[in-house]
Amino acid sequence: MNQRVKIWDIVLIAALVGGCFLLSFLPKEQGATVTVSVDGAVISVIDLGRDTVVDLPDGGRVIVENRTVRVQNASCPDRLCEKMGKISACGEVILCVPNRISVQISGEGVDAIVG
Amino acid sequence: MSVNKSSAHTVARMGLLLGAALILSWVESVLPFRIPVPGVKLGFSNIITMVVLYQYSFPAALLFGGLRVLLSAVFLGRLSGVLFGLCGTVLAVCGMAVLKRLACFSPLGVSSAGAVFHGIGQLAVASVILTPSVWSLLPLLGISSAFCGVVTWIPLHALGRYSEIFPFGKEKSLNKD
Repeated sequence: MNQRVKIWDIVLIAALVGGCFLLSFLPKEQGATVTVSVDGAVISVIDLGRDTVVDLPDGGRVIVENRTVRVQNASCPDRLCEKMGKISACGEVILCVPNRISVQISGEGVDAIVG
Repeated sequence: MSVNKSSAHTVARMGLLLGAALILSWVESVLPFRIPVPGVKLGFSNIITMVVLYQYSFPAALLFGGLRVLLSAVFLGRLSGVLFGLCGTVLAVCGMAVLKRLACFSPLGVSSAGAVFHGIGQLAVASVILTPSVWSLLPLLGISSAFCGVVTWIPLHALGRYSEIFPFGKEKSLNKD
Protein backbone atom coordinates (compact mmCIF):
# COMPACT_ATOMS: atom_id res chain seq x y z
CA MET A 1 0.00 0.00 0.00
CA ASN A 2 3.00 2.17 0.56
CA GLN A 3 4.25 1.95 -2.98
CA ARG A 4 5.61 5.09 -4.52
CA VAL A 5 3.28 6.95 -6.80
CA LYS A 6 4.21 6.21 -10.38
CA ILE A 7 4.03 8.44 -13.40
CA TRP A 8 1.41 6.13 -14.89
CA ASP A 9 -0.91 6.87 -11.97
CA ILE A 10 -0.90 10.52 -12.94
CA VAL A 11 -1.38 9.58 -16.60
CA LEU A 12 -4.31 7.30 -15.70
CA ILE A 13 -6.07 9.88 -13.53
CA ALA A 14 -5.45 12.62 -16.09
CA ALA A 15 -6.88 10.35 -18.81
CA LEU A 16 -9.98 9.57 -16.73
CA VAL A 17 -10.65 13.18 -15.83
CA GLY A 18 -9.73 14.45 -19.29
CA GLY A 19 -11.92 11.86 -20.98
CA CYS A 20 -14.90 12.78 -18.82
CA PHE A 21 -14.20 16.46 -19.40
CA LEU A 22 -14.22 15.93 -23.17
CA LEU A 23 -17.42 13.88 -22.96
CA SER A 24 -19.14 16.73 -21.20
CA PHE A 25 -18.38 18.98 -24.16
CA LEU A 26 -20.20 16.83 -26.65
CA PRO A 27 -22.70 19.04 -28.43
CA LYS A 28 -26.15 18.80 -26.91
CA GLU A 29 -29.36 19.13 -28.80
CA GLN A 30 -32.05 21.44 -27.64
CA GLY A 31 -34.50 19.41 -25.58
CA ALA A 32 -38.14 19.17 -26.58
CA THR A 33 -39.92 16.68 -24.36
CA VAL A 34 -39.85 15.83 -20.67
CA THR A 35 -40.53 12.22 -19.70
CA VAL A 36 -41.27 11.41 -16.05
CA SER A 37 -40.93 7.74 -15.09
CA VAL A 38 -41.45 5.88 -11.84
CA ASP A 39 -39.92 2.42 -11.53
CA GLY A 40 -39.26 2.37 -15.26
CA ALA A 41 -42.89 3.07 -16.19
CA VAL A 42 -43.64 6.39 -17.89
CA ILE A 43 -46.19 8.37 -15.88
CA SER A 44 -46.08 11.63 -17.76
CA VAL A 45 -44.79 13.11 -21.00
CA ILE A 46 -44.70 16.90 -21.15
CA ASP A 47 -43.77 19.46 -23.77
CA LEU A 48 -40.73 21.34 -22.50
CA GLY A 49 -42.09 24.61 -23.88
CA ARG A 50 -45.23 24.49 -21.77
CA ASP A 51 -44.87 25.60 -18.15
CA THR A 52 -46.49 23.00 -15.93
CA VAL A 53 -46.25 21.02 -12.70
CA VAL A 54 -46.44 17.24 -12.41
CA ASP A 55 -47.17 15.66 -9.04
CA LEU A 56 -45.10 12.61 -8.17
CA PRO A 57 -46.44 9.64 -6.22
CA ASP A 58 -44.03 10.33 -3.36
CA GLY A 59 -45.37 13.85 -2.86
CA GLY A 60 -42.67 15.64 -4.84
CA ARG A 61 -43.28 17.78 -7.88
CA VAL A 62 -41.66 18.12 -11.27
CA ILE A 63 -41.72 21.74 -12.37
CA VAL A 64 -41.36 22.75 -16.00
CA GLU A 65 -40.61 26.45 -16.32
CA ASN A 66 -38.89 28.58 -18.96
CA ARG A 67 -37.72 25.48 -20.87
CA THR A 68 -36.02 24.07 -17.76
CA VAL A 69 -37.08 21.21 -15.50
CA ARG A 70 -36.47 20.74 -11.81
CA VAL A 71 -37.73 18.57 -8.97
CA GLN A 72 -39.09 20.12 -5.81
CA ASN A 73 -40.34 18.83 -2.47
CA ALA A 74 -38.87 15.36 -2.87
CA SER A 75 -39.43 12.84 -0.09
CA CYS A 76 -36.10 11.04 -0.36
CA PRO A 77 -33.62 11.40 2.50
CA ASP A 78 -30.75 13.05 0.65
CA ARG A 79 -32.80 15.21 -1.76
CA LEU A 80 -30.16 14.86 -4.44
CA CYS A 81 -32.82 15.24 -7.10
CA GLU A 82 -33.49 18.77 -5.86
CA LYS A 83 -29.80 19.55 -5.58
CA MET A 84 -29.24 18.48 -9.18
CA GLY A 85 -30.99 21.71 -10.09
CA LYS A 86 -32.43 22.55 -13.45
CA ILE A 87 -31.94 20.59 -16.64
CA SER A 88 -32.78 21.76 -20.12
CA ALA A 89 -30.72 20.00 -22.81
CA CYS A 90 -31.59 16.83 -24.67
CA GLY A 91 -30.37 13.70 -22.88
CA GLU A 92 -30.08 15.31 -19.48
CA VAL A 93 -31.70 13.52 -16.60
CA ILE A 94 -32.66 14.00 -12.95
CA LEU A 95 -32.69 10.86 -10.84
CA CYS A 96 -34.17 10.00 -7.51
CA VAL A 97 -32.68 6.60 -6.78
CA PRO A 98 -34.48 5.89 -3.46
CA ASN A 99 -37.88 6.56 -5.05
CA ARG A 100 -36.96 5.12 -8.46
CA ILE A 101 -37.98 8.31 -10.21
CA SER A 102 -36.35 9.59 -13.35
CA VAL A 103 -37.02 12.81 -15.22
CA GLN A 104 -35.39 12.95 -18.62
CA ILE A 105 -35.37 15.28 -21.56
CA SER A 106 -35.45 14.01 -25.09
CA GLY A 107 -35.17 15.74 -28.41
CA GLU A 108 -38.22 14.41 -30.17
CA GLY A 109 -41.65 15.97 -29.83
CA VAL A 110 -44.34 14.59 -27.56
CA ASP A 111 -46.01 12.71 -30.45
CA ALA A 112 -42.84 10.82 -31.31
CA ILE A 113 -42.63 9.33 -27.84
CA VAL A 114 -46.28 8.59 -27.21
CA GLY A 115 -46.86 7.26 -30.71
CA MET B 1 4.04 -15.19 8.54
CA SER B 2 1.90 -18.00 7.31
CA VAL B 3 -1.19 -15.92 6.92
CA ASN B 4 -2.80 -17.97 4.21
CA LYS B 5 -1.94 -21.32 5.72
CA SER B 6 -4.33 -21.02 8.64
CA SER B 7 -7.89 -20.64 7.46
CA ALA B 8 -9.19 -19.78 10.92
CA HIS B 9 -6.70 -16.97 11.07
CA THR B 10 -7.69 -15.72 7.66
CA VAL B 11 -11.39 -15.84 8.51
CA ALA B 12 -10.78 -13.92 11.74
CA ARG B 13 -8.74 -11.27 9.96
CA MET B 14 -11.27 -10.92 7.19
CA GLY B 15 -13.98 -10.54 9.83
CA LEU B 16 -12.01 -7.73 11.46
CA LEU B 17 -11.47 -6.03 8.14
CA LEU B 18 -15.16 -6.41 7.28
CA GLY B 19 -16.07 -4.83 10.60
CA ALA B 20 -13.72 -1.93 9.88
CA ALA B 21 -15.23 -1.46 6.42
CA LEU B 22 -18.76 -1.44 7.86
CA ILE B 23 -17.75 1.16 10.44
CA LEU B 24 -16.31 3.31 7.66
CA SER B 25 -19.57 2.94 5.69
CA TRP B 26 -21.50 4.06 8.72
CA VAL B 27 -19.19 7.01 9.41
CA GLU B 28 -19.59 8.09 5.82
CA SER B 29 -23.37 7.82 6.01
CA VAL B 30 -23.56 10.21 8.98
CA LEU B 31 -21.21 12.83 7.55
CA PRO B 32 -23.22 16.00 7.12
CA PHE B 33 -22.09 16.74 3.57
CA ARG B 34 -22.83 14.90 0.36
CA ILE B 35 -21.35 15.19 -3.06
CA PRO B 36 -24.21 16.55 -5.17
CA VAL B 37 -23.95 13.90 -7.87
CA PRO B 38 -26.26 10.90 -7.62
CA GLY B 39 -24.45 7.74 -6.67
CA VAL B 40 -21.16 9.39 -5.76
CA LYS B 41 -19.80 8.86 -2.27
CA LEU B 42 -16.31 9.23 -0.92
CA GLY B 43 -16.18 5.46 -0.55
CA PHE B 44 -13.97 5.12 2.51
CA SER B 45 -14.75 1.44 2.77
CA ASN B 46 -12.95 0.96 -0.53
CA ILE B 47 -9.78 1.53 1.49
CA ILE B 48 -10.40 -1.80 3.19
CA THR B 49 -11.37 -3.51 -0.06
CA MET B 50 -8.00 -2.36 -1.44
CA VAL B 51 -6.24 -3.77 1.63
CA VAL B 52 -7.92 -7.13 1.01
CA LEU B 53 -7.07 -6.99 -2.70
CA TYR B 54 -3.41 -6.25 -2.00
CA GLN B 55 -2.94 -8.57 1.00
CA TYR B 56 -5.08 -11.48 -0.13
CA SER B 57 -6.39 -12.09 -3.60
CA PHE B 58 -8.86 -10.99 -6.22
CA PRO B 59 -11.55 -13.58 -5.28
CA ALA B 60 -11.19 -12.62 -1.62
CA ALA B 61 -11.66 -8.94 -2.48
CA LEU B 62 -14.68 -9.74 -4.64
CA LEU B 63 -16.31 -11.74 -1.84
CA PHE B 64 -15.34 -9.08 0.67
CA GLY B 65 -16.82 -6.26 -1.43
CA GLY B 66 -20.07 -8.14 -1.99
CA LEU B 67 -20.47 -8.96 1.69
CA ARG B 68 -19.71 -5.41 2.66
CA VAL B 69 -22.39 -4.02 0.34
CA LEU B 70 -25.01 -6.49 1.57
CA LEU B 71 -24.22 -6.04 5.26
CA SER B 72 -23.96 -2.26 5.13
CA ALA B 73 -27.32 -2.15 3.32
CA VAL B 74 -28.84 -4.23 6.12
CA PHE B 75 -27.21 -2.26 8.93
CA LEU B 76 -27.82 1.17 7.44
CA GLY B 77 -31.32 0.29 6.23
CA ARG B 78 -30.67 1.16 2.60
CA LEU B 79 -31.84 -1.92 0.83
CA SER B 80 -32.92 0.09 -2.21
CA GLY B 81 -29.30 0.68 -3.07
CA VAL B 82 -28.09 -2.92 -2.90
CA LEU B 83 -28.21 -3.62 -6.61
CA PHE B 84 -26.35 -0.40 -7.42
CA GLY B 85 -23.75 -1.09 -4.77
CA LEU B 86 -23.24 -4.71 -5.80
CA CYS B 87 -22.81 -3.99 -9.49
CA GLY B 88 -20.56 -1.03 -8.75
CA THR B 89 -18.41 -3.01 -6.34
CA VAL B 90 -18.06 -6.04 -8.60
CA LEU B 91 -16.96 -3.85 -11.51
CA ALA B 92 -14.65 -1.83 -9.26
CA VAL B 93 -12.93 -4.89 -7.78
CA CYS B 94 -12.53 -6.48 -11.23
CA GLY B 95 -11.13 -3.24 -12.67
CA MET B 96 -8.80 -2.71 -9.75
CA ALA B 97 -7.53 -6.29 -9.94
CA VAL B 98 -6.71 -5.86 -13.63
CA LEU B 99 -4.92 -2.54 -13.05
CA LYS B 100 -3.01 -4.01 -10.10
CA ARG B 101 -1.94 -6.91 -12.32
CA LEU B 102 -0.66 -4.52 -14.96
CA ALA B 103 1.91 -3.49 -12.36
CA CYS B 104 2.53 -0.07 -13.84
CA PHE B 105 0.13 1.58 -11.43
CA SER B 106 0.54 2.21 -7.72
CA PRO B 107 -2.48 2.06 -5.40
CA LEU B 108 -3.17 5.73 -6.23
CA GLY B 109 -4.13 4.98 -9.82
CA VAL B 110 -5.85 1.73 -8.84
CA SER B 111 -7.97 3.47 -6.21
CA SER B 112 -8.95 6.34 -8.48
CA ALA B 113 -9.83 4.14 -11.44
CA GLY B 114 -11.63 1.73 -9.10
CA ALA B 115 -13.89 4.56 -7.97
CA VAL B 116 -14.66 5.42 -11.59
CA PHE B 117 -15.45 1.74 -12.33
CA HIS B 118 -17.75 1.75 -9.31
CA GLY B 119 -19.63 4.70 -10.75
CA ILE B 120 -19.89 3.05 -14.18
CA GLY B 121 -21.31 -0.11 -12.58
CA GLN B 122 -23.94 1.95 -10.79
CA LEU B 123 -24.83 3.76 -13.98
CA ALA B 124 -25.21 0.43 -15.75
CA VAL B 125 -27.78 -0.68 -13.16
CA ALA B 126 -29.54 2.69 -13.31
CA SER B 127 -29.67 2.57 -17.10
CA VAL B 128 -31.44 -0.78 -16.92
CA ILE B 129 -33.92 -0.16 -14.12
CA LEU B 130 -34.47 3.57 -14.63
CA THR B 131 -33.65 5.00 -18.04
CA PRO B 132 -30.71 4.77 -20.47
CA SER B 133 -30.41 8.57 -20.32
CA VAL B 134 -28.52 8.24 -17.05
CA TRP B 135 -25.35 7.83 -19.13
CA SER B 136 -25.48 11.61 -19.61
CA LEU B 137 -24.30 11.80 -15.99
CA LEU B 138 -21.12 9.90 -16.85
CA PRO B 139 -18.79 12.92 -17.25
CA LEU B 140 -19.81 14.46 -13.93
CA LEU B 141 -19.81 11.11 -12.18
CA GLY B 142 -16.46 10.11 -13.65
CA ILE B 143 -14.68 13.29 -12.61
CA SER B 144 -16.10 13.29 -9.08
CA SER B 145 -15.41 9.57 -8.66
CA ALA B 146 -11.80 9.94 -9.79
CA PHE B 147 -11.43 12.72 -7.23
CA CYS B 148 -12.99 10.54 -4.48
CA GLY B 149 -10.63 7.70 -5.38
CA VAL B 150 -7.67 10.02 -4.87
CA VAL B 151 -9.08 11.21 -1.52
CA THR B 152 -9.53 7.65 -0.23
CA TRP B 153 -6.02 6.77 -1.36
CA ILE B 154 -4.57 9.19 1.23
CA PRO B 155 -5.57 7.15 4.32
CA LEU B 156 -4.69 3.97 2.43
CA HIS B 157 -1.20 5.27 1.82
CA ALA B 158 -0.90 6.26 5.47
CA LEU B 159 -2.08 2.81 6.52
CA GLY B 160 0.74 1.28 4.52
CA ARG B 161 3.33 3.68 5.82
CA TYR B 162 2.46 3.16 9.46
CA SER B 163 1.45 -0.43 9.05
CA GLU B 164 3.57 -1.58 11.97
CA ILE B 165 1.24 0.14 14.45
CA PHE B 166 -1.91 -1.24 12.81
CA PRO B 167 -2.78 -4.87 13.48
CA PHE B 168 -3.99 -5.01 9.87
CA GLY B 169 -0.62 -4.60 8.32
CA LYS B 170 1.51 -6.98 10.30
CA GLU B 171 0.99 -10.27 8.57
CA LYS B 172 2.28 -9.48 5.16
CA SER B 173 4.31 -6.47 4.29
CA LEU B 174 2.15 -3.87 2.64
CA ASN B 175 5.20 -2.44 1.00
CA LYS B 176 5.50 -5.28 -1.41
CA ASP B 177 3.17 -5.79 -4.29
